[in-house]
Amino acid sequence: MEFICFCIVAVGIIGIFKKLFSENSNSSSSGNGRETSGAQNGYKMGPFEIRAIQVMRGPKKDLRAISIEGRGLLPVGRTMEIQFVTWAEDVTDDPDGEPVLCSIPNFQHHEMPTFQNVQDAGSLSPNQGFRDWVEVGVAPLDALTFPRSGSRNIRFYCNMSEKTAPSLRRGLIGGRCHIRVSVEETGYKEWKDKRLEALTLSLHLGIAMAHIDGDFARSEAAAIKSWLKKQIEHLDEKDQITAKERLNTALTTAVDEAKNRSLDISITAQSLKRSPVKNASYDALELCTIVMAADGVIHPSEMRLLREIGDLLGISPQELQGLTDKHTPAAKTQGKAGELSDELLVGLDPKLPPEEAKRKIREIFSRYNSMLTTERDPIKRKRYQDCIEAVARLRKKYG
Amino acid sequence: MANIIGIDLGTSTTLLAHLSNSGESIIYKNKDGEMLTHSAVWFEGEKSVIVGTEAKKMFGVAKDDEIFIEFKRDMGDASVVHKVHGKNWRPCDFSALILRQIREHFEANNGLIDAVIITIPANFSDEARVNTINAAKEAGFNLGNDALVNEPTAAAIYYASSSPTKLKGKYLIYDFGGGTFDATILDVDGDDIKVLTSMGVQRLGGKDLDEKLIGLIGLKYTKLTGEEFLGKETMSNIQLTRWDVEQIKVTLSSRERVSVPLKTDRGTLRAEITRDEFNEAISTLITQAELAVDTALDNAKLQAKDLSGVFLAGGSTLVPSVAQSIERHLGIKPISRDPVGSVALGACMYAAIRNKSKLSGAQTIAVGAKKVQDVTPHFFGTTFCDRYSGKIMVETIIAKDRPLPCTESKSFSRGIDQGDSIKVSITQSGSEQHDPDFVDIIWTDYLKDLPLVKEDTEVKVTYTYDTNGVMQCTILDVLSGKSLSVTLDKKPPSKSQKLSDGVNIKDYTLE
Repeated sequence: MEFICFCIVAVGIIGIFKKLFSENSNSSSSGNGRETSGAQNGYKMGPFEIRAIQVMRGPKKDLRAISIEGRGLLPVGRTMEIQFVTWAEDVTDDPDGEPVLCSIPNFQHHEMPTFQNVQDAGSLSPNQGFRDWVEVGVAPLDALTFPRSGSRNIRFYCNMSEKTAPSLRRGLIGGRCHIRVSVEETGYKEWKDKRLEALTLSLHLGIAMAHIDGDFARSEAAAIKSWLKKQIEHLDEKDQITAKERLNTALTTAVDEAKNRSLDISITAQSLKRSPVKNASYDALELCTIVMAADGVIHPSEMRLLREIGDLLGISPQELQGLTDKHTPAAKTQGKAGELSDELLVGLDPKLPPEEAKRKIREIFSRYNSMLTTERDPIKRKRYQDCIEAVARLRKKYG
Repeated sequence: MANIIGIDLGTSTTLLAHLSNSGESIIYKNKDGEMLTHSAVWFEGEKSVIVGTEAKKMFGVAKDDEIFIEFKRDMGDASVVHKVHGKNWRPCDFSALILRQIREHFEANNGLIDAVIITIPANFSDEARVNTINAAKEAGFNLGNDALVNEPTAAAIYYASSSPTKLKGKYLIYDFGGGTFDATILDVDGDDIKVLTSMGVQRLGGKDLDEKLIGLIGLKYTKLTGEEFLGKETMSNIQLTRWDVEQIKVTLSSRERVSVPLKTDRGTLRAEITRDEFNEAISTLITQAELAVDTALDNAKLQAKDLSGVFLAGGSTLVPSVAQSIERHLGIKPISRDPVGSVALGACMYAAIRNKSKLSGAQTIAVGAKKVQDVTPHFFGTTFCDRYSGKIMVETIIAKDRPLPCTESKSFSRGIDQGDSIKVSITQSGSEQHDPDFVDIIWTDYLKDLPLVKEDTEVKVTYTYDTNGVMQCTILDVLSGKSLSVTLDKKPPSKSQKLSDGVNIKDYTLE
């Protein structure tokens, strides 16, 4: 069971694809370019063959697509309703072919999310075929996902079958062709690597947070371990072993770097920001927030570092504040290293111009007041009440 | 003549107002001849309960597990349960005892009550609203689901009704009560009262002023004795009760300084508390009220200069620095006309407006053609899975401060990866929130047996909020036509959800 999805934009994009490609399919299904072969007209068609060419589609010609075109004789023994079924395999790394996925349901196999395009071609009689190249299939290139990124060798198949045939891919005649395409999007086989890479980067930031007070406490180490364990628990046994080895190595490196003060959070954050893994930056900041509160005390230096990392990762101040509200309610804001300033506690930038600061203070007040009303956990309630009082002090301070 | 009443069920005090023969709203004295009943409950024996001033005076003297005050703050919080003589009591049970006493006293002298309206803070949660209705029903009131009105709205009705001149313009109701603060902005044109927005602070009231005063007394104690002040425990050591603290606060409203006797092991010491010191101690609380006012003005897209007046409600507005802060902050001298009784008096007027068919001719003329339009008290939304981030998020369907009644719809999509059912949750929050961790999930269910789809299809979510505070929610799978509907009203709980485990307030004798 799932939550309902809110993807009006996605519906819009799908709508564009559907429209664009159905217009094209209409042109071929109408039998455009179809002629009769044989003695009657003195013209003899060659055997059926296909080719793939990259084209641009859409009103602005900005949507990449691969057009599958066919020509030649379509040998049938009787008049029948026919259709063309097109699918693809990536044969760059595996000559047996690896699946090509598609994110648009109308361009998917009926049971799998692999690419497949079916186009009706109308009624076909014996000795008929395409004299010239005619589009018999189309693939929305930007909606396809390949095993890996880079230059990919794609093999397209196109079969003609009777519309009533029990299997779409059991064709009366078919062809195959190759095309090389350049793919920027991370391939589905690269995701494991990318995820692991994002985790090691997050680990570096977590270690930086743990070391900001000069001491890698046992509670902080336990928090990092617990977080990482949770991140890899869904992997199969073999992948978990690989992940643990890699993360252990990364942990040793990061701790050494932190001790030598050579751990560069800026470079790490930039790499994370570029990661194609969904929520990688947010997840990394979440780890930092958990580490910050692990020993039960938030030091001003930790909160400053968290905000610095948040900035570097491009996380909004609201999201950052949400993370601290979620993960640090039980932590004290006063310790040996001093008291957390009201600004740091509630996330007010002290450099804001006065009017902007006043507006921001009202916004923060409204947020904590609402959270206090809905929260039932006494520990969180106490934190939100403290934040409201901090906001009131800031209001007095900023006028 | 019908008995039409309004009740201000407050954190510190409870007041009952009734409609006179001439259609005037009048405070009805309690059985002890007092205008207000302290919202305090003392279990003197296993089945004997004392309600009101006597109970309040015993706070800090009687056993902690036998005396209860300020329980309104915990209304709607299911986790708050008090064990009294082996029985579980929830905040709404204590409220029921207060309501029962004032009902029995009124009905003993006037006959059965025909219509009642009870007031609640503007930002009371849905559960707290339901609990208030249930408490009234437990107390023997015969009332419908439309028996509640927000406290500042009631105060506005009172001020509009009692104004010597016809009101016209935007007004602020500054309601600083015993436990909560509400800033409400109204658009008033004679008999037409339209609420534009309400901004409440749940934990800001007289109780908090008292806590600051206790802190101040503690500082004096430490200065005089060199010993650390340990809060409530030391309060009893120095033989100072909450009642005493309230009296000191009241005294500071009329005098510049108070000499407080602190009875210690070394004899009685005297601590002098000045009004300036008290004002400084409570200044961050007053700032919170200012912030709430500013936020209300922001929400109504108004500035202080747009206000035609400020009306005070709630006993805490009697603290001089509170009224002074308003004048300093908004540049408007506030009008204070019976701030303690205004909410109950307005609630009684509202009861009359809602029950015109029960009024006599004179009462009908006095009530006139008043109309009140309220607004939605919270943001109501639904959870959904954001396809791009993969996170569960909250989308607002009906925003706060929408004029009632209102209906809003939003469309979502159901995709190929979502199987044959979808989980639907209704959320509630005081500000616009997108993170489900910061909202109340007030209802959850599944829309089941949906056809599997090969492409995204529309799911339409529609909420309707009526003038009685009842919300109707419908979730429609457009492709199949299947829908799920729920009515979120203030019905009493079923028997399996009884308010308390084994507690029946009828078993208790009210002394």
